[in-house]
Amino acid sequence: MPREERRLTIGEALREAIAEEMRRDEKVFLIGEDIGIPGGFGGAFGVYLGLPEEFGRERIVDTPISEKAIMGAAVGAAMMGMRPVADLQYSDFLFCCMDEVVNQAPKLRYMSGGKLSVPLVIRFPVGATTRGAQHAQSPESYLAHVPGLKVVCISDAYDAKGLLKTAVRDDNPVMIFEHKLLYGSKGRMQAGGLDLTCPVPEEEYLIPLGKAKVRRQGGDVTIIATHIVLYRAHTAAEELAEEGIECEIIDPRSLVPLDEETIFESVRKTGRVVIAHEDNLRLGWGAEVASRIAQECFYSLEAPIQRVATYDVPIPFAPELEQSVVPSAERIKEAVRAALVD
Amino acid sequence: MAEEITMPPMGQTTKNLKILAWHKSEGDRVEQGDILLEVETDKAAVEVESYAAGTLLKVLHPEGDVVEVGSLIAYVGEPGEEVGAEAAGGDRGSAAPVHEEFSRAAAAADAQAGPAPAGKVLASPVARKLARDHGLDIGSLQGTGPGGRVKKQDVLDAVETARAAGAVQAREAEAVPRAAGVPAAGAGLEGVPAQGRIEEPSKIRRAVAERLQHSFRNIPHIYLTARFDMSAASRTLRASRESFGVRLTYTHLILQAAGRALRREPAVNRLWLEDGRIKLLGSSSVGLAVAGEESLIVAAIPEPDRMSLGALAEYTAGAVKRARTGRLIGEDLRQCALTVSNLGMYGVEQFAAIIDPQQTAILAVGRIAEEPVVRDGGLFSRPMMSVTLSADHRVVDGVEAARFLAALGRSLEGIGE
Amino acid sequence: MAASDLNSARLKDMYRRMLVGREFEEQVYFLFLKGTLPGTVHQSLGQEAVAVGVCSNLNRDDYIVAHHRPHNIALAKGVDPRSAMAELFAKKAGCCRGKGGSMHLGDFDVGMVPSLAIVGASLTVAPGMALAYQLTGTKQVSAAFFGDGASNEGAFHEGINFAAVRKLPVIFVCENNLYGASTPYDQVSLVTDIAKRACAYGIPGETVDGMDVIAVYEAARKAVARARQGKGPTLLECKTYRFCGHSRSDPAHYRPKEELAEWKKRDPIKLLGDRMVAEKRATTKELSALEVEVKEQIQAAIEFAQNEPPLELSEALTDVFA
Repeated sequence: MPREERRLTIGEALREAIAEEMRRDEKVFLIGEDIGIPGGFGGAFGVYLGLPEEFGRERIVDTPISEKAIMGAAVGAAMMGMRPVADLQYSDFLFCCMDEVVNQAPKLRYMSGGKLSVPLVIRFPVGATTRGAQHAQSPESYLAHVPGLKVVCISDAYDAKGLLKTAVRDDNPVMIFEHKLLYGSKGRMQAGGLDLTCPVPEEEYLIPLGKAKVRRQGGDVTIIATHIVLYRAHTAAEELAEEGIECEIIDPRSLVPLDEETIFESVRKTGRVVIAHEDNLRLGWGAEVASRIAQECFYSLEAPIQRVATYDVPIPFAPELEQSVVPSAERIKEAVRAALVD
Repeated sequence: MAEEITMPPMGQTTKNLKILAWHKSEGDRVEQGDILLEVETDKAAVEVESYAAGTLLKVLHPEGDVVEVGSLIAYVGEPGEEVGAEAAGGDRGSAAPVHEEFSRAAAAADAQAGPAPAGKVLASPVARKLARDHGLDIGSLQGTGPGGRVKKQDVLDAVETARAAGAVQAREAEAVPRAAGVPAAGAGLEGVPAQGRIEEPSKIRRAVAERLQHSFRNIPHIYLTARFDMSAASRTLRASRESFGVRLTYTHLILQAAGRALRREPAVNRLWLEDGRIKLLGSSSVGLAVAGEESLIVAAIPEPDRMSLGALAEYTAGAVKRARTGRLIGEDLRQCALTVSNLGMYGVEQFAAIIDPQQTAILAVGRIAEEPVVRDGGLFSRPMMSVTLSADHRVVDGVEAARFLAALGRSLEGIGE
Repeated sequence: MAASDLNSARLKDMYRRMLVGREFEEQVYFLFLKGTLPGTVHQSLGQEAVAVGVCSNLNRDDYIVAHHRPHNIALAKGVDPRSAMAELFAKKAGCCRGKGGSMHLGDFDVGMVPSLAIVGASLTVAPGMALAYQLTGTKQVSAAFFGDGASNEGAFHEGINFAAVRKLPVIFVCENNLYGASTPYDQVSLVTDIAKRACAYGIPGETVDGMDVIAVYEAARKAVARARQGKGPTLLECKTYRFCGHSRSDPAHYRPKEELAEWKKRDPIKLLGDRMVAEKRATTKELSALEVEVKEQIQAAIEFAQNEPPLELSEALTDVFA
């Protein structure tokens, strides 16, 4: 009897990945705010629901609202051989603990001359969701800039499970960025009517860092995008296909390390590039990727590299304003057309 | 051996410290830790202890001197020891390290000498643009860059070659819609290899090119087009063919009409001189454009409106022959304000020409063809001809040019008036 | 009052270790004046008793985190003077393989992670280490060393509070040398006894004479025992004084000369030495012999460091990722 394909949301897939890793290695533990409190949230966006019942609250460390203490603890524990998975309720709170995340976690190994390692994972929910400028950022670019950190962007449930498991087993600090509108938590309006589930194998599998995924094949333009903007790129691609324009869509999955090979191969084929992300435009990671493409694929380019990103403004509260500043399918289509002008 | 005392790195940002005071004099006994001197840093006055023990043998810099960190300032040792004049602690040789993985030089990108994917041309963006602008197919060009890449110079060479081979038409006036799809060069024309051949232009060609460029660039052209009914002219021609030995053509009639029109509308019969003054011409001479061996030549026809048609025909024949064989005489070169250029015999319906730099206007004459026209409410077939007058707007304004054309038209359409 | 478990051998050992710290720092100063050391150094002459008093209570696998003034602490914890000196000379044989430097001194192999030069950083990292011990049930204890200046960093509040609430096996050791760089402590806090802040977190706080190594030892012994028994952290404040400027480019003109002179009268090494002789735990001859021995040891460390090869340039790119 054929087994029905099991579909999970990102939230469910993350939970499964964490549970599997915690079962597999007793050194793995969780630390963050509101993650294990009985009758509580089960962590931001409910990802940890059910875990305290299995693992007890000893391995699920609830903390005061002290981002520095959370991340400092993760650093200290990791140096002592544990594998902490820390999280922030909103990625915007990264700035409360930048010292720990930028000055300590990625530098301690180097400063020790390689005598120790810092195997920690930090999870960040990103994205604009009508809560105003300080609960809306997608700051993965800040951390992609730091030598010693690995940066992952998760965009679907299949990737969520495989990438989180890899991140936990990585002996280095790995920063995981997840989009709030993609968790698929129950009771939340799904953004733009997306199906936020996808098939997730029950058996164990790992997805290596530094391996991008070509989600759609096409010969006319290469689009590189992450998170919810990736889905908008798909929408744009479907609409453009009706006009005979075939877009190739690449999900980088990790920004550090970056899968240049897959990206460059696609660019050499199409000669035209659109990079789209929700982090703001100026010095966003799209600029780094564009620069590398310009350096390595210069003679394959038929048109200037296009970038579509949130405008360089704090995210406004008014919903229609918010929607107007973040990348939309329309803006992506515009960029594709610009890339096709000879 | 005496120990060298150097200026210590006490300053936070400055490398040059001033000696404020020596706390010991030459000959004094110094213990390790004794204050030896006081220096001024960017922050404050600082006391410096001695790291050597012995006798202060020599002080090399007195109070007030500004000394660079690391430089020798004194010697401490046993009395009687030699003190050399060598500089303290040499500079560590600093060769700028090059970390291969981090410096991916242009060479790496250039070294993508691998073959381009099928159907793709390796070319720089600037080369592509140049090729596009000149209507060249970049795929047909030979690239001299790494891996056969087409570079900017390759495109420029191809453009030159195309010009020499005559496959590219020079751009005429802006009023004329740009000719579409200029054909690509060098697919192996007779006598010209596939990748083209570069030649030096002849003196005449060069001179003509310079003159035309000068004219096109410096004279503000205006263009007026009119269509004339050549029925009357046609009758005149038929009537006169029997009479004259030399064959009369429409060009003769047009020359005559032009002379008449110049006389009628002398505003066009003027020249704009280099020094910014205007010369009014006293005669109605008209230039005639003749296709010479290498270029178009203009022969002046003196006051064609004062000649009889027969005389005009004869004179013109002589002038044309002289022009074709390159044997123009003084008369042929007299000043004219206007030249007539006729391409009608090639089937050209209408065109706009570039004014000769020493003239004021040029009349571009197209073919004569039977066309349906409406006259007095009825539909008739008439031989129609299109002319375009290019005029120097510094000398001639629109109305003046229009009146000239109208006079020309009246002359042609009602011959004899 | 003599500590019950401090026999003469142990006292001599503590004396010797303070001498090592002092001699190391004094020789480093002269090396610095000669221009042979790259960068600058933040020295802790005068503060030896705190480092030795605390570290004498710690085992090798009780990890500590220190700050930007770590030389004495590193030596007291057990970092070999040769590898510490080599680190200052930026040699591969240094305890951080030449890639950490003076402010990041530490040897993972003897229970000290690289020091953290961001003021206050130790206060959130040491609890993390203690959390690991708590989760795995080992009886290890961690220690955070920090200065008076760090008491006003947010990390002080967050780290101590978190450790207190979870009863983590960590001790917080404040070296209050009365100045945060050039700023006197009474200008940045209305409460000048830092240990008093402990009550805000519900943990014991103790102020100790940081020039008296035995007093420090005693207080630290209680704190470490508490932690190891799972009773949680203690805030230990050791009043001490640095006999030198903030860094080597600082002549410390913000401190009155008489103040320095007063504190120098209570030189911790002198205090212990006098006491040992008075209580007949050691003779002046024995102490002098120790001095000579230590001078030779440090001299050997300098020669070792100077003769060791420097790093290959390619090593700038290694050890980023495991």
